[in-house]
Amino acid sequence: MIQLLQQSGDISSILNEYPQESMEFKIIDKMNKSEKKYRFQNKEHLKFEVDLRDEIIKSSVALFKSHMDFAVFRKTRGNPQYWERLGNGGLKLKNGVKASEAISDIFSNGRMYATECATAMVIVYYMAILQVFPQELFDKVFDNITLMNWHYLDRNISEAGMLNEKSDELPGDRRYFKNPDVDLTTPEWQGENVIDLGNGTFYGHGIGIHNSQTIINALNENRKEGSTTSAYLMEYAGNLDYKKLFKILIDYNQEDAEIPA
Amino acid sequence: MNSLSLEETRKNFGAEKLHKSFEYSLKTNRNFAINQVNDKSLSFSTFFLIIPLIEKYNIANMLNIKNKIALKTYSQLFGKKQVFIEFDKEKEISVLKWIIESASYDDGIDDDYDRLIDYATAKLIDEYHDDEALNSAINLSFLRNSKGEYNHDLLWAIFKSGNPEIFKLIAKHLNSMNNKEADFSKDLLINATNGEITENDVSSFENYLVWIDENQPYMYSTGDGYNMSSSPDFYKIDSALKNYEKHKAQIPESKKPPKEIDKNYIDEFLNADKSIDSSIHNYSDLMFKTDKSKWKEPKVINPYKNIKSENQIKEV
Repeated sequence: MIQLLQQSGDISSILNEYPQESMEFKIIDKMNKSEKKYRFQNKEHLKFEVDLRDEIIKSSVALFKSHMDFAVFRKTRGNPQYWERLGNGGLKLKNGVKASEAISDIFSNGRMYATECATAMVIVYYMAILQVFPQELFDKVFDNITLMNWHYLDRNISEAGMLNEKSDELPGDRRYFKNPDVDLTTPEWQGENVIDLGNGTFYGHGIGIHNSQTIINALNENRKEGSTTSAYLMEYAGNLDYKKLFKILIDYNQEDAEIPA
Repeated sequence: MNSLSLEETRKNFGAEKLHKSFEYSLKTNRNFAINQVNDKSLSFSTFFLIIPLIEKYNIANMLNIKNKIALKTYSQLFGKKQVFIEFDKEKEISVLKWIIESASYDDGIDDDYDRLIDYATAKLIDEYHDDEALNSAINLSFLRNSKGEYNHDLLWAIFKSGNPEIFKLIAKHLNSMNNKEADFSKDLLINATNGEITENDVSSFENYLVWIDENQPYMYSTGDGYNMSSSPDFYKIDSALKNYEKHKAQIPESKKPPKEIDKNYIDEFLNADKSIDSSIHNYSDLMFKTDKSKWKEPKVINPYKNIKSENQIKEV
């Protein structure tokens, strides 16, 4: 159920703002029909989360189409014009470079980049936020970012690194397929981070866009010899702190409104 | 002909000179070159650096058994054609240890080298449950952390081992004068147990020993790693078992249920359909059938909920 704390009103009026076949409609409808209480400050807060989830899905598909390569950390690649490659395989935003341009470059010049699956999720998140934040705000908030799985996450997206028990499966959730009996020669196949695309498929960098069974089959191909322990989708989900990001946007808009022309 | 050994050549003149010198030997005196590579004093690091030449000049079958096993390990990891060789487990363990021993001074010479070290370590820990390898792995993970180098696969292998000794080995670094080392130790120990630990518990090795002695019997490895989370729960604490053991310790001996039905009791309790009374009654029924002399009419509603002090423990 959706609860708007600062407003009364009927959720169906919000639903009517979106086409029925849209992802936004699907997300709101699912939240509203859930037994769990989804609390939002107001309509704008709800729409912010819904929009951002939709952008996470779109960014996932865009990153898949960018032809960014898969690589283990020791073989990470990035465009040196924007990123400094660290000794541990992370990519650090170069001094004087705008994060918005650096993140966008990954999608425009995907072939110059190679990362593993968790780092790809972080890239998806940054691109999604760039779609809902004004560029100036994005560059101000994320002025010193490093891309390396769930390490060195900017404090404004630090919650994305956690997996929590979930009650619903919502489009835009981060999920994790675990491969308990992974072959020791390929530890990078110990699991696959994915984004739930809301249509029965998931995006996982290195595997692509597939349903859960296909992803499980791919992971099972990388098990210890003779193993019969299957990979599986964990009952956890990860997300951005949508409320925190919404507040950043609101504060920025208010400051902007207060500046005299 | 170079009179220096391959090891001396590398240490005194570097990898490039090593390559040139060994290739010259292979071209001009193959037997001499094979003797050089089979020299007992050769370190794995030096062997690793000449593997491309071993492959190029096709001398794999002329290697001694130690080198053949090392080459096979390399080939397994990098998907290359493998040397046919039969060997026993002890021999492989010995070679894997030779491999990781070299990492203590040569780690970082090459990305593929480091990856091979990780693989050899994981094999020793995961397949052979070698305790010595754990200590080497932990020391190496601290070394890499100090240099800002990649250590996630190593840490994953360490925590996946299920060996409880790793906690004390990691905790030894809590008392380090090097802040980075102490902080790394603290982060690992906090992450290791899904946050069921306080800052005070990890403020020193001595404090940590108290905590680990209390909790270690109830900890189990999850196999999770940094691939899935910024704070993976490498281990979890079985709180139900811990609380049960704590409760059991507080029950007077004469009132304890027979040991053989303890497990059934825990399972019964945990599988109760939100109705503790039903579990207690089932247990009571089982006890009645097992030992009528110790059975009494059930009075306790929930041994977990009502424990506040010894005086308030009720009999089952």
